[in-house]
Amino acid sequence: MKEKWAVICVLFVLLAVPLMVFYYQGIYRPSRYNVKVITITGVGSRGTWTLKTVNGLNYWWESFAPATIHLRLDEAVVFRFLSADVFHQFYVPELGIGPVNVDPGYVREVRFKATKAGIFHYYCTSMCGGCHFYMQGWIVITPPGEKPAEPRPISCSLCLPAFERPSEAEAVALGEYLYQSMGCVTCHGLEGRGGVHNYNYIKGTVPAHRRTAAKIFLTDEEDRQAFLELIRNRADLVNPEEPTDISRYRLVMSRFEAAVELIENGKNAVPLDLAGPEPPLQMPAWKHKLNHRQIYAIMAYFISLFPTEDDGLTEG
Amino acid sequence: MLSVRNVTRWTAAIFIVLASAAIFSLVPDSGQAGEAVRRFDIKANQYAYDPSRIVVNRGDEVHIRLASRDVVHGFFMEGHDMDAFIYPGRLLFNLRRTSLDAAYVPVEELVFRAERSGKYRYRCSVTCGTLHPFMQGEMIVEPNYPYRAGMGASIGILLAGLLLMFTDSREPPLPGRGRLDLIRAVPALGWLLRRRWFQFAFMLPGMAFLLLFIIAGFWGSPIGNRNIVITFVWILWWFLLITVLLPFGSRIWCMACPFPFFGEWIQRKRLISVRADARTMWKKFRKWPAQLSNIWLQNLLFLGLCTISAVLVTRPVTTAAVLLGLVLVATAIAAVYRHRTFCNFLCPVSGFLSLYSMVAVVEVRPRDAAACRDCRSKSCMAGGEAGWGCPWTLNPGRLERNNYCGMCMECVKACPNDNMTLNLRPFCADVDIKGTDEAWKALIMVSVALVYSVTLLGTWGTVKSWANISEVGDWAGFLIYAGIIWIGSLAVFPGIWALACGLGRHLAGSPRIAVKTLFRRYAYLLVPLGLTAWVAFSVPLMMVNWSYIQATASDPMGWGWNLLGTADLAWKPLWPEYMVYVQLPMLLIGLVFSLMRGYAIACSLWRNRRSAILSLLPPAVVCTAIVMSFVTLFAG
Repeated sequence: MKEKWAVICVLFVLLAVPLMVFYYQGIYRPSRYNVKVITITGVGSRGTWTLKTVNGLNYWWESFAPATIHLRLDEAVVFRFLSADVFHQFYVPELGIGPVNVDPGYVREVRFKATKAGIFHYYCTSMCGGCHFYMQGWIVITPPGEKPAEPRPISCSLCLPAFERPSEAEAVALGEYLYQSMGCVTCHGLEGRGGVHNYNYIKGTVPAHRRTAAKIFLTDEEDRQAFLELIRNRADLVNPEEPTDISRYRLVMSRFEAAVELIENGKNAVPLDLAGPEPPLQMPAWKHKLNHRQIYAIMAYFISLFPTEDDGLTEG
Repeated sequence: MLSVRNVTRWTAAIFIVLASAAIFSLVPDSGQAGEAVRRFDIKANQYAYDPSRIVVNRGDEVHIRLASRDVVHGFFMEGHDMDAFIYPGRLLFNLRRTSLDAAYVPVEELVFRAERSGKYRYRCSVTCGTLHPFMQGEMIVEPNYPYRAGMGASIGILLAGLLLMFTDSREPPLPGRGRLDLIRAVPALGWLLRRRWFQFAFMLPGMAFLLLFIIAGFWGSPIGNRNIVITFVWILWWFLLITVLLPFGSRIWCMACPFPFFGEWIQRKRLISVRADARTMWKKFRKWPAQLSNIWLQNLLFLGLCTISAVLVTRPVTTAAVLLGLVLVATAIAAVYRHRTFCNFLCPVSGFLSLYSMVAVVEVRPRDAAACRDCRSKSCMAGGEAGWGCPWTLNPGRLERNNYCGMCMECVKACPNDNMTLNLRPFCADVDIKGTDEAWKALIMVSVALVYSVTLLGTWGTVKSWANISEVGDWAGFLIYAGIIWIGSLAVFPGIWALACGLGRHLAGSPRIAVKTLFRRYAYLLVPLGLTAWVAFSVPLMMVNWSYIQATASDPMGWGWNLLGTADLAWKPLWPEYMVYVQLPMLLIGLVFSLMRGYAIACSLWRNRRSAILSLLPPAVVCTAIVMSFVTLFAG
């Protein structure tokens, strides 16, 4: 008799534990929301916000496709934000969502009603590792009856450039490599073309860098090559050992140093509408991630770029 | 015996310890007296701070600027009411006073006056990846009195111990002889232990938890400190096992452990009752091969798990897989081999439980050993009407040590003469290490405690990335790390131990006793010492991660549940600045027990008191050195 009860107890435990977990998570909790629930998980190591459930079974080996979130106009939803690894911030300035602090282990919930149609850019606005700058995507809000747009997802393929890390000696090539691998390219555009929209930013779009040479008064082709040569030779730019032939050298250097300082210390984006939301894209301070030589290499890459006719107008 | 002589001896001994601690504390400082302004730039990256150690003088005004090189990190300064939140790519960081529970305020630097001397760790307070709970640096405020006193007291204990040994006039002192028969003292306990459902009532809830843990590990959050499988197994269970269950309950865990549940069910085909053919049914099960009937497999499996411990204790999926694997292996072994073969010879946890159960204050023993010798039925071994024969294949009537007794209480039930009981006894009452496998276990446990204290409680980021192989993938570093664990604990430390024992034998001047015997018997010195070192290692785990236990109790899978209302608790360690005042006494108590029991062992080996003490001297010095290295790691 006792034995029979014991077997019943064992079977009860073996069934009850999984069933209770399943019931509570799968049936009871969703039933408490009267609207659609969208769970979004930030995966810092892949640079994506994903709609997939991230757990012990998939976190270590799956790549998670960036989420494109589709909503119908006037649809009310609850966003639940989770992190699978480190601290993230979810921000959609145009829709007034966030920045939501997504602390690992805590679930943040945000209620939202889709009141305007369009394609809206979401971001991670707290640096979360090597792939941070790719951690963006789209919220698509479609009026009833229309076919939803399918914007191209922003994915991290650029994170690992096709070429090998160049040696420190090849300043321009190293600069190009760093420009891509550190994620600068996601905001400042391929080959420094700029043009990435920064909501409520006074200049509208993120500055381009194709005219850096001209901006630091290296207007002459010979001067430009000579200056690149100085960087390549790791010369002391501030107090050059040999007098250079570069015209207006002190003026060039003061502009050059100002640019380097901006990369080192970062800069907050000035809002267009002071009462409006913070612009999502801010220039981070790089001084703890890049050393002086690496920043010079990035500058060398900018100086080596040439504006072409089609991007003359996007300069910041 | 309270005689004038003994009072004098003990007063002198206590004076030596205190004086030694005081002398070390009063050694003049090399540094300048305080009130200087000290500035530091501390950069955080996964999973270390750079610099990982800063040294200031008491009274100094300390300015710290913080930056992060990769992801968001925190900076919680123990004992200074400061918690910072560091965004990478920003020059300002956010600071708050934890005591006020105030909001974060952006600041350029931390400024405070170093008012109390000692060691204060700065810990990451924002989950920053897998090894986040172990990310820490340390600020030393000189003069570091706790550290100096700890070092002085260790040496003092050795000297005082020698004094007491040389002046001892008792007949060979035997360790801990007093016993209290708990079943006679508390009849209700006897009733409870004799219930057939007693063990089942512990195993079943364990089974439920195990199931929950495995579900959480596979399907719950991949963040270790927010998943119940990590916080409850590696923090709560480990802490309770080392600090409470083992010293106060011997292998009581083995009684409640759910791993062998299914295996035992398959063997017995009963959950509660005893079968009528309990004495004959074991014939169809095989015997474990004699050459494997020792704890070497356990030693190797334990070392294997230790090698991957940084991955194991931080990834829920790895822990769940290991738990599931252990259940499956235990079940498969039980289906083929008789009794608790898995527990006796394979379980990686069982090895150190058997070793440290020698320290425990409880034991299962016969009341009257003579009665057991004359007993014809031997129900405790072979099984009887009221109880199964010992699942650990022991002869309970002749139990002398706790080592392989799983506290299942079957012999208490089975004995027809009511001769088996549960005794309360002094700490460290079993002193006889019988096999080289056990001696090696003692050496392995101390080595691993040292390695863990460096890797997990230390500030060295490089060692952490070596150990963190599945994320960092530095195979060369991992090989160094694994090499240190395996070669250190299997060869280097045993080599040092053998040298010390050989030297002791030489000093004692008696070739009668083999070095091998000394190696084995004196390995017992490392048992109380090893256990207290593990306690000193486990206490911070609990104090630092207590909030995570509360949070995961409320939200076991990290899915946003809040069953108990504690899921959103902010991380806040429990009195971390006082941790060292728990750790140092533990280490010193361990050393005292080592020397006391070592002396008893030495006296049982040598008739001549002087030879006995001299033979003990080199191993005792090694033990003191081990305690001093732990003191340095924890307080220095």
